Amino acid sequence: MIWQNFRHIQDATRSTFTPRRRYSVTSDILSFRRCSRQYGFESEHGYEPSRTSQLFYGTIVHQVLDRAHAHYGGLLDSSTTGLLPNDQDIESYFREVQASLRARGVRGARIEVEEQALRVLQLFNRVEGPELYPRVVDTEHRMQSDQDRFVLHGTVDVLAQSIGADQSFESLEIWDYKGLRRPQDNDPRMNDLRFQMLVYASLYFERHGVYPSVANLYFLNELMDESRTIAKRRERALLPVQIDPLEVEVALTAFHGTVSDIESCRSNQSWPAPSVGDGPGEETCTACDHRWNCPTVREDPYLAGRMPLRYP
Amino acid sequence: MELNELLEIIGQMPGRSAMTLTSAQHNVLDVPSGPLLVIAGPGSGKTEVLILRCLRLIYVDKVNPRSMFVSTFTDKAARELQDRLSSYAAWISSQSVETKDIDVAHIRIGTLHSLCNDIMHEFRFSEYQNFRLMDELEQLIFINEHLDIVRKNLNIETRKLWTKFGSVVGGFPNIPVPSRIRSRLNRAIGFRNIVGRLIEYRVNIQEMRDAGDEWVTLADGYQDYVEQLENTYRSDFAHVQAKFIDFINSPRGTMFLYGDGTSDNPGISHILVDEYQDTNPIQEEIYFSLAQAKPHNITVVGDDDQAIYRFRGGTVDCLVGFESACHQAWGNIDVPTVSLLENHRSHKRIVQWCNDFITSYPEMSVEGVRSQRAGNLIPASEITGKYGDYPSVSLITGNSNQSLARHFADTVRGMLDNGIISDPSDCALLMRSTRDNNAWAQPYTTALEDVGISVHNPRNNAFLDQMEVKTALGALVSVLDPGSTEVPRQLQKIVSEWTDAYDYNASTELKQYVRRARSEISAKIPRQMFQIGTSELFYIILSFEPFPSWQQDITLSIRLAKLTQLLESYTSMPRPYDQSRTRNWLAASADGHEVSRSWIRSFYWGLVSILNYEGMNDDEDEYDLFPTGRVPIMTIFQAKGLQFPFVFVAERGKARGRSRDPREPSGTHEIESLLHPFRITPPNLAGTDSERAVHDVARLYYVAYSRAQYGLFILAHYDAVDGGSPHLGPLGRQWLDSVEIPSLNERG
Repeated sequence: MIWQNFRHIQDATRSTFTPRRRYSVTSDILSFRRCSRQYGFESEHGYEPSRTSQLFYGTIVHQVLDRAHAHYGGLLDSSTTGLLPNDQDIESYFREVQASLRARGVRGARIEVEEQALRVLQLFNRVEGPELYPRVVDTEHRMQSDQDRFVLHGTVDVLAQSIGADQSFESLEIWDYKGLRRPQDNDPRMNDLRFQMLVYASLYFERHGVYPSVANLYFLNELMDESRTIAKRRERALLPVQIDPLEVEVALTAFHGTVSDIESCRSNQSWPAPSVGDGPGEETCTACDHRWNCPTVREDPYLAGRMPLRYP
Repeated sequence: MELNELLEIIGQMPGRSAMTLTSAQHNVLDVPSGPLLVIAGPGSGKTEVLILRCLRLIYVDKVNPRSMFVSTFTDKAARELQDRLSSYAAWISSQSVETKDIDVAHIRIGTLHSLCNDIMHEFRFSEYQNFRLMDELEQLIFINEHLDIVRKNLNIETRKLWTKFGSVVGGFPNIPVPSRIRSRLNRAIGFRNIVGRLIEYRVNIQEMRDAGDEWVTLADGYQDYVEQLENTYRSDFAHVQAKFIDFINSPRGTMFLYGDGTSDNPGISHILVDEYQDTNPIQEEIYFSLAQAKPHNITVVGDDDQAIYRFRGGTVDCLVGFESACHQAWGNIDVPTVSLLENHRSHKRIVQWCNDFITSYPEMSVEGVRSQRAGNLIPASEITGKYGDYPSVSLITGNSNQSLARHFADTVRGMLDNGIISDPSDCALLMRSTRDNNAWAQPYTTALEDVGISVHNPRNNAFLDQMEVKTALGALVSVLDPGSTEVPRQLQKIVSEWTDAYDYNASTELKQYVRRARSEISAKIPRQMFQIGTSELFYIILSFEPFPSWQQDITLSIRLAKLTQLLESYTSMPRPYDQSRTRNWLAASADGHEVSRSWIRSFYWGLVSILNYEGMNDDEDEYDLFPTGRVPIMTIFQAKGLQFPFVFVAERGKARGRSRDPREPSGTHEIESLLHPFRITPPNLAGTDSERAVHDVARLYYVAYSRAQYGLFILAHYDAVDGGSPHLGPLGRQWLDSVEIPSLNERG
């Protein structure tokens, strides 16, 4: 036998390289915490989500605002440097993004929802633009951090100078836009949002050596609450998260804990559904492609009743 | 920090052997600036040298990591570079406090496609916002549906065009071109092959148009394609690069290239390119554009002997002619060349075999075919030092596919049972194709399984043969086209396999759902919209047994997930001439009581026929490319950049039907010659089509052989040895005998 020519060799082994995984605060950690079953299907097995309406709203809000900032900064056309975009400009940016998303098959749930997004963006531009845009230092600010076993990364929507402060990194504010109404203070989502901001602060520290002065969450859909004055709406839309290094440390520890949980699920090849009553909430479940045989839905009479089987 | 100090610190890194660089490796580090060509043979420590050069630039020359642009051939290679650089940087900062603020994560590392894509997004290049990047399958669906040049029936002009490019249209090669080009799908495949080359070769479209006749038809078709891409916010991989050239020449590109004076955006000052032998002319233009500022800091690393991607537009001439390209671009500039020839990977006899193999081809000795290198590979592996001289290259022959496979399997079994290897994944079987049929991988898979060894062959092109895939598609078709009334004749076999699988495997509940869904559809009035779209319907189907049980197995679940990706690709594609509606929405036909006939026909012709022709592979897990406990069966292309303790290399086995000898020129070579006159920078095409085909075969098997560390086994049919099988080259049995290669012979 020809293998006998190699008898003198023992245990010739292959050297392996396994790249470190990258974990994002939003698309990994928060998604997994929301529902590990959905996360397992989508992020690990690769099921393509069909809920394009959620994708539409988030994408169009971020991209139109990004263009609004670029408009003011003269990045799209130098002649607009220092000029606020008007309603027509915002609509034009909106239509541009809308057309490209439609060409990719991404649409809002209804045409009214798409048009509401436009109105929200125009209103934001009018009421926040004059004060915010001149302070913007960077947009879509990418950050990452080596965490030994894995790489942690995230992107903040805006870095802005604090009012009356200089452009030093410890004076800058992080802004993160949310295409949502502001959750109640006791809503579990609020904890996740604060956690996200604290992790961003940690990433910021990693990149710049100092913490940002504050991390602002901005809930755009609050601007559409016609029962309140514009001033009141703006007040409710903005939620500043103060950066306490101790809390950042706690958040980072929690991040590591969630990564360990993800890796444990991966090694067991098991992505359990949340227990009944502890699910991600009706809004997430009703948009989930995997709801039809999900134990969390099936064993919850309320949720099950809200999601009867559908036919063509 | 001085270079010596840096190397000393690195040499003290725990778990790393002492820093002993060869003089050639040192030469790579010593070049301070300007262009540099590194010819790096297999196993010559190329990646390590590339990393050390990056570290030198950062820690010795104080180059801002953000101004470094490092291009690799694969995402995996980019990840490896990033991770290794991070490890080194962490160690260096622990030893040298003043370096603690340096963050190597800021180096731009990636494949050229991903770097172009990311940078254009980062710099908000308005002409590349929200573009959907299509893979090859999606591109084919798009071309087949949207382009008149393939959609419309043949006329005098298009017939002339397709006849000229007959070697790249689809269909079986043994069918004459005039018959093949009658098929729309075959023409779509041809157009996909051509359109990529037009971009990659930097063809001057106007000059092509000026050539008249069929060239005008092609130029019109190309123009139409570009407009359709723009209108539908889509791009293919080649066009991402074309867009990037536009970007570099735009104001935003200037800001990227030259920076804004801040340390956050210092511009690009150093370009390092790995695997340069597989670069194509548009990529060369990108690299040269990035390096246009003096002193033109571009380091390219590659090995023309390992150039194997001509079929994807790779042009080895970019590497062979790097020095003259620098002179042409920047005048009489010094372009040092360093050859890394010490092979630290393989036993000396394997190295000798590789040297002899590549030089045995007379076609490889013609001037201009190979780069100017200092000589052959030099054996320098610790394996030789540790185990001495032994016959590490072997020939295994057999008189049938099955007997050859049996000898192969027995050899792997013997090595496992005798502790030579501890895991089957320490062996790899490399072939030109790993399709799961009798000519290629199937006999080897069966033989290994017969001796109790599993295989890992994700590129077996057998995705559509899997039970879970057939059952899911069968259920979908059973709802949308009950009775399969609209199935085209040539698809009847595959669709009936799907519906049979559904009938056999579906649970009672799934069948009930399908019946109810059909009855809902039969109650629809003309053109009535359905309540759910295709994707939702498919997910509902997956919620019924047997799918949830199958989803417990990750392999099966990943295949079902791939179907959801495929459906999304198809349903998100705009309809030709009507982009207001997405194909995900379903509606009743003009007569009601059934799904729109045009939707169903498009589904079969626009998706199923393409799937049936192209076939599909399983996805590969980048975190577990070679699962333990299984022998990987891989294409030689997959094996690029890898090494295995024991490598088996096999050619196509005997099987019915004629197969093209890879030494004969193919469409790849013909299209290279056809488009050559219109290229903006005409290259020096090294040889005729036939000669270049031979170069490609020599290089392909050189890559395969040089993957082996301890042992290399060449598998060949007994009579093919004398007949000069492609993987034995012109050497033949006489030569094999003369170098005393041990054989396991089975005569016919």
